Amino acid sequence: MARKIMHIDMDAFYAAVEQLDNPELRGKPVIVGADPCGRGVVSTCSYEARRFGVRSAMPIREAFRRCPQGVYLPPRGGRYAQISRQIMNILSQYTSLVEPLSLDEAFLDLTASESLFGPAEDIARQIVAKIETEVGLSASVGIAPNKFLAKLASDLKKPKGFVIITNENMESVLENLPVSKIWGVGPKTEAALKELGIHTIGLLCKVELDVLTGRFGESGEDLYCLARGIDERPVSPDEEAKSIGHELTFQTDTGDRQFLSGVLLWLADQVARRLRQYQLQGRVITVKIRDNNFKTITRRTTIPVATDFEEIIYREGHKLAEQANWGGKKVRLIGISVSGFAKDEPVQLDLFGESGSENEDALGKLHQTVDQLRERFGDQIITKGTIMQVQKRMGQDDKTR
Amino acid sequence: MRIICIQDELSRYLQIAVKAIATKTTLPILTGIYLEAKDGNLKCLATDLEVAIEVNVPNVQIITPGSVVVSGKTFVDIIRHLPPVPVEIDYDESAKQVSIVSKHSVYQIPVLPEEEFPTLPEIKSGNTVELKGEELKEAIHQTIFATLADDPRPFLSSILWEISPEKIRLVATDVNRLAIKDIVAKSSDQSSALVPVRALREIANIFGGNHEANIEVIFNEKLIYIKGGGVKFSSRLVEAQFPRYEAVIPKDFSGSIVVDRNDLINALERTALVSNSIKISLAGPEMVINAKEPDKGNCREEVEVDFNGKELEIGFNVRFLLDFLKTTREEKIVFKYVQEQKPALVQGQGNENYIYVVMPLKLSV
Repeated sequence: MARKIMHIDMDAFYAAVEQLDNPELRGKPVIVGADPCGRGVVSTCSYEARRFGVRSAMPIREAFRRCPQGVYLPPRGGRYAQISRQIMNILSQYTSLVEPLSLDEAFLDLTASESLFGPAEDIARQIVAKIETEVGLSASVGIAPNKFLAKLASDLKKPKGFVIITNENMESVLENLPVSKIWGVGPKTEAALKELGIHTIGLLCKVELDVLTGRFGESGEDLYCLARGIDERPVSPDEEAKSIGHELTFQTDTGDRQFLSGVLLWLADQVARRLRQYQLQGRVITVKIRDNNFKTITRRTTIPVATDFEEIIYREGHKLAEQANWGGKKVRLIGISVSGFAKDEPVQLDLFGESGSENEDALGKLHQTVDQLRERFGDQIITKGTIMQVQKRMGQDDKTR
Repeated sequence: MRIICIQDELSRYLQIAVKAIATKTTLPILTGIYLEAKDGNLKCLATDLEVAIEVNVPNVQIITPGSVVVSGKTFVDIIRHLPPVPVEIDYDESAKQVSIVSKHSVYQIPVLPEEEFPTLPEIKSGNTVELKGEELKEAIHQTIFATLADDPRPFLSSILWEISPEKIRLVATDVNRLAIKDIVAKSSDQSSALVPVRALREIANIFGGNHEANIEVIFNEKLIYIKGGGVKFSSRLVEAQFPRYEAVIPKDFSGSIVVDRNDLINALERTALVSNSIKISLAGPEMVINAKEPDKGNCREEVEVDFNGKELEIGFNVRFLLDFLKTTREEKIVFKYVQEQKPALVQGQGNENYIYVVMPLKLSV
């Protein structure tokens, strides 16, 4: 039986929240992101702003040039997280199989819900209506037999989109879409496909599997399947809440410990920032190292007090990496993640400084300030010297995810 | 060596000494107990090299003086189970065994090589303190709950003794709380030492029942040594740095309450039936205690208090509060606070000699 997977994506989420909280902004071009005079980028902009040619991830100065009359606002992560929880709560009323992808996006597996609440299409309409009345925001929805198609569908007719892809209409929907719509096809893969003369998903479908695996290795198989609308990945609830991690694949394998330590610090910095963004603190720290023979080791440790501090994540991660002798060979990939979240547990504070002390309070405030600065002015406004050196060495084309 | 003693007297002293016998050791001699009959006394000695206990059993009839080492547990158990009649202990050197003879019973047990028994460290000089055993026992009882016996950090499995000429201060912490007890005592000098929790439990047991005479406590750099009531006790000290505890005792408060100790204990014990994580709200003459646990439900308790200062909502581990409330004796308790994530100070009203500093729980939103 075909699954009924729904993907829901809030329309211009950050900007919409700003317009919700401040009615005066409604109908105006609202741009949430970095300081318009600075070097940062646009996080989200309202549809009114999009009419001026403003887009997410566009340099903020460019946005300002195109739309000087826009209202430029710094992001308010805490508020967005709050609204996001409200939305996720509504989603979870219809199925327990909710997989949040970010604050404003989620997959739902409605296959089993149909016997309870009726056809998936009706459920999806109810959800959208409920979010509209209870939260006051609009969303776009895609319904399809799998995650790839559902996500693709929700993106086809934004805002307030409602697109259903079935096994029957799938081919006609996919046929003329550019290959960049396929999950995992970034600018590099896109360029490589174009070199082969493949511009659309329809054309990609005509390519044999061994041609794709020959050119793209393992991910060639993914391309082959996705182009045909085949995607077996289940909707896994809590996936987001289980761990937060970052990893980095190097252009050239390296054995330079000092450099690797720097990279680890950089990754820890990003992980900590995301933890704070989601208001999570974790006790389990995991380090992953893949060597030039593709042998992967992971090492983990549990710390007594849950943390969202990069200092602690790095310290523990570095200890683990040292204990594992950094894999013993040249390193191809390194990653660090935090899990074991203590979400609703009360935390016993410590008299002598591991938590709750003056020192920690100060560090917490420092992180808060740095986070705010970065949200307003972009990531580069303030960073650690070591991280800057690492970034310089990596060049700007890092492949973090 | 051949002696006759009174069973219950001998058994009572052996029960004390046996506490120092090694239970897990690679040195078999440390499982032994050293017996020496001399000048009308029987000296019994045991040590595991951390703790050593020597007792002197009086009123012993010595037929032949001498000494021997026997397996401690077997010997002590046999003596303990004999009837309360005179018992004869006879060491046959040629057979290398000790006979224990009671009215209807004869037991023969092997001896351990006496020359292997360690000589005990004796403190000749050091900072000497005199105090009442009973008071020391109470002070240990009032601080020992705030330690963490199995923690690898040595300062958590020991109690700090700060000795000044007029008083001794005992300080214990498990990093979440701090218990401080001052007792009046005369000492020859100023010093400080970290005494392991295990030794303190024994000290409280051995010397705590001593009502009349003072006990004498001597410290040197490595050892604590206590003498009183026919018992000599020594233990190694812990060599570690105790945290600078004075720095975490709050001094400026934003408010305080005075509350009846029993009322508070009762309310907290009931709250603990639901959860150990509690929230205390202070805003007026009623202190409100809330607790909730998803599987167990929720509760609300009100306790009458004298309230003075700023309003406060603060979380605590209820066990941490009860530990203190149950070991202090004053009818009224004073609770002083700074703010929700800062340490609070608790003490019996009018008692400056016993204070408790406890860190709150950071409650989830």
